[in-house]
Amino acid sequence: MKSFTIRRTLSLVFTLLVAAAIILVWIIKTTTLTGSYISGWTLSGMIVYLSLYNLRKKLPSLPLGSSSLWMQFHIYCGLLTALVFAIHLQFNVPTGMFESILAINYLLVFFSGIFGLYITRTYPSRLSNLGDEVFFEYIPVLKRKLHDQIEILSLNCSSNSGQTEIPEFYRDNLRAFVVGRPAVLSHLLGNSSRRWRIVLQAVTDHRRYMNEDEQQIMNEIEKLLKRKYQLDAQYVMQGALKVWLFIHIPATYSLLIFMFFHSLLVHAWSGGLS
Amino acid sequence: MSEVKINRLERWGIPFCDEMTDENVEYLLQMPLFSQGMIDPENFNDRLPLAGILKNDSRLMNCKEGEIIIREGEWGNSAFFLLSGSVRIIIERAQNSIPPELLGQPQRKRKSVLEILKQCFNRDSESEQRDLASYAPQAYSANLKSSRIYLQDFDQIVDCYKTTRIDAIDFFGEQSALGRLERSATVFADGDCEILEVRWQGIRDLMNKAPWLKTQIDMRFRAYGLYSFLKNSPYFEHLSIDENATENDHERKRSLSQHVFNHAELRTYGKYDQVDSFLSLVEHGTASNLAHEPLIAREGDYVEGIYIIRSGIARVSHRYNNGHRTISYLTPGHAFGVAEVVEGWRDGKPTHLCHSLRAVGYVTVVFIPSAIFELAVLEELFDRQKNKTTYSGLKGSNTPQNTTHLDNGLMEFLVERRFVNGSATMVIDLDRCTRCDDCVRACAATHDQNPRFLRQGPVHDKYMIANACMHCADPVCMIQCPTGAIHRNSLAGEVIVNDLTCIGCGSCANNCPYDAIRMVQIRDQNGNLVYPTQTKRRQADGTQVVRKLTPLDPEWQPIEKATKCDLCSDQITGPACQNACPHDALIRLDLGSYETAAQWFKR
Repeated sequence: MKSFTIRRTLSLVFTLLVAAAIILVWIIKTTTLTGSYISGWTLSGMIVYLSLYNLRKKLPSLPLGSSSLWMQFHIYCGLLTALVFAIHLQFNVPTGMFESILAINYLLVFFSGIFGLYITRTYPSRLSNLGDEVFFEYIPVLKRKLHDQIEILSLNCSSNSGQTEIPEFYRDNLRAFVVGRPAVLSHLLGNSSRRWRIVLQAVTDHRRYMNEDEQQIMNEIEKLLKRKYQLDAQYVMQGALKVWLFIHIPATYSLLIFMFFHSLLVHAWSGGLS
Repeated sequence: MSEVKINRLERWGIPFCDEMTDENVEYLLQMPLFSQGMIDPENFNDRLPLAGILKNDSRLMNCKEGEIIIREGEWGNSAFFLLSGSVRIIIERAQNSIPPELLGQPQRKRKSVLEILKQCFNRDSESEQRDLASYAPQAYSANLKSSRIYLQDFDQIVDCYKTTRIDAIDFFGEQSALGRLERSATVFADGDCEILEVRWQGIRDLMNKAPWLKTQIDMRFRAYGLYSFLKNSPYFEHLSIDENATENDHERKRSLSQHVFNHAELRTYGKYDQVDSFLSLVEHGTASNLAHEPLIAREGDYVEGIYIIRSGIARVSHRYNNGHRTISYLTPGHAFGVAEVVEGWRDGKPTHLCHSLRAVGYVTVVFIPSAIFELAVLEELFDRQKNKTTYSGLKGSNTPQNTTHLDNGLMEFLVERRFVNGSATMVIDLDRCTRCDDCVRACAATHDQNPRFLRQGPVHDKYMIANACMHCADPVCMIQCPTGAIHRNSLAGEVIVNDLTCIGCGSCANNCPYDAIRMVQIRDQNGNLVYPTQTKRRQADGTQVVRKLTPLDPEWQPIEKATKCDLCSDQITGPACQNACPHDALIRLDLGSYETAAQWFKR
């Protein structure tokens, strides 16, 4: 039963491909279309196909092929569009305003895609190297808890012993790191941030002024600081893995709109297919 | 938000068959099975009377000649008592068995493309909305009824295939129902017969109260279980009777087969209906748990024979420093000790076991003594004088020991936490997972807007075992379900919950060692929570008092149902989670199949 379905689907796809090739040859032979028209329509077709992947994601249980298969086609077809785009532009920089906007829009989609490809291939292993798996949405809550824990540790130290070294040290050297925003660029590039290095150095430097009890408390605080650093890294990388799509997808929609008007204008000024 | 009320279900709220009347029960109680002391009604108490079990957990079937009662390969949730007449069991399996087309195998029900499209675009404002009309008892009974299928050419089938006849009073099908296993043979009516089908919860209660039944079931388990296993074991394939063989050959093979059967033993380790020990082992999965795993064979002991796993999972380990290192795990069909027996036979001197074998959960093994194995298998297949004789030439000897590829740490992790029990374990490769949650969204889109798993769970190295139902080889979640709502799909064996008969007791969720079952509050189609209308309480004298509930009562709690991954059994595309993963990071993996698992982990 299933083999008939597969055979029928393959035959249908093959027939459609042959039909598309015949139509293309017929258009080239019978119309006055130049190479730009052909490359333009090819590019449009590829972009429309690429944008269909988002629709496929919205229909997860339809038998349209696995998402990973679509992803593979999406990546390679997306890379191929760069060549077709360059041919379409005849390896020149566009001069008209509309064409320039359209080209910039395409480049935005293309390079956001490349960025997405890079981070989806590199960030997952960096995230798993960080250790704990945390949901992106929970990270702010966890950071808040960490902040509270660190403050309680520092204040308890002060109220228990009457000494003020750790609270003061926390206020002067650590608090900015604990309450501060993550060092986005450093985490994106996979480097340890300067602020983190300063914090670590400060902790090491101040240990020499602490007694045994304070050292123990400092050890606890240091663990929590490391956790905060890891959560920052998780937040930035997981955020990047989500945010790039907020550029890639809307830019694709705007590209589709610009593309539509572009083809309308081109055909209007050239007299159309006939 | 307004409140909607329905009756809260109880153990016998929805009977197995609504056609069982009091007259039927009276009639059954007069039958020799119940009136002649085999199953004595006096042994049952008021809380669980025999009449109640018969009325609510059983159904009476009148079968005609050739009617198929059970099919080989289906997953069984009930057993059958033959009250009158006789049935035939096909005793050959695999290629010698009846072709599936003659058995009228029912097709799996899947949603059509239109239904799937409707499901994709019909996004309810609230999750877990139900059509409350479907909870009416008659609706469930209508679901249960299945069309009867008859063998087309009864006489020819009886002539062509090896069958054995069972006459009343007897029973069959209990092994797969109690062992949560596939049916091992096809059974059909041999003339008019009367059969009582009892769902496994009823069988469990009958066994507890009727010692005769328990003894009979145990006895048969050893006799028939062993017979059917040896008959189909690849190790003894060469002993099957070949049409072209000579009379002498026939006689020799028959005698050897009998010899094997007489000396083989069916041994069980662990308890098949005990959840606690299994649960605690999973939760405290450490190397010290080895001490709690029943030992099947000890490293260093003299080799007494080979152990073939019949059901369950066994751990192969060897001593390492002060502990035991897991070498591999064995699943049904795998054998232990073969290499040592072959070595001893080849070299003509006694050998010792190189590894230990321990039961992980409930395990049954078939033990074949060395002398018998040498005589019936090695002497038959190999030339002892040839020094290079190894066990790798044996059919069925493909044990993981000789193809091991899994990283040791990963192996320990999988065995220690019993993930090897899963036949569709959700494994996520964290080095590829972008945490996009497409899998979670796809799951929600196909299941009432509520995902049936959590993308979190234990992690080893870069692999996460997510909190999704693994569709265990031995699903302990089923053990304490009072109504049989959680059961195996008879066609493919996925563990699924029947929403109509789930009473929301939560025993499956509590028993699942992997935290894969969740209790959810259901809503009506307008998004309102559903509350029970009444509660029943049993008095000291055994009578039941029904009391209407008001919002002030402590029992006034929203009705809950158990939900879990059903492996998208009604979807065309199979598991939506796996299908939706753009980066091939997520897979539903049969960890019981060592080779498949090793291949994926080593990709």
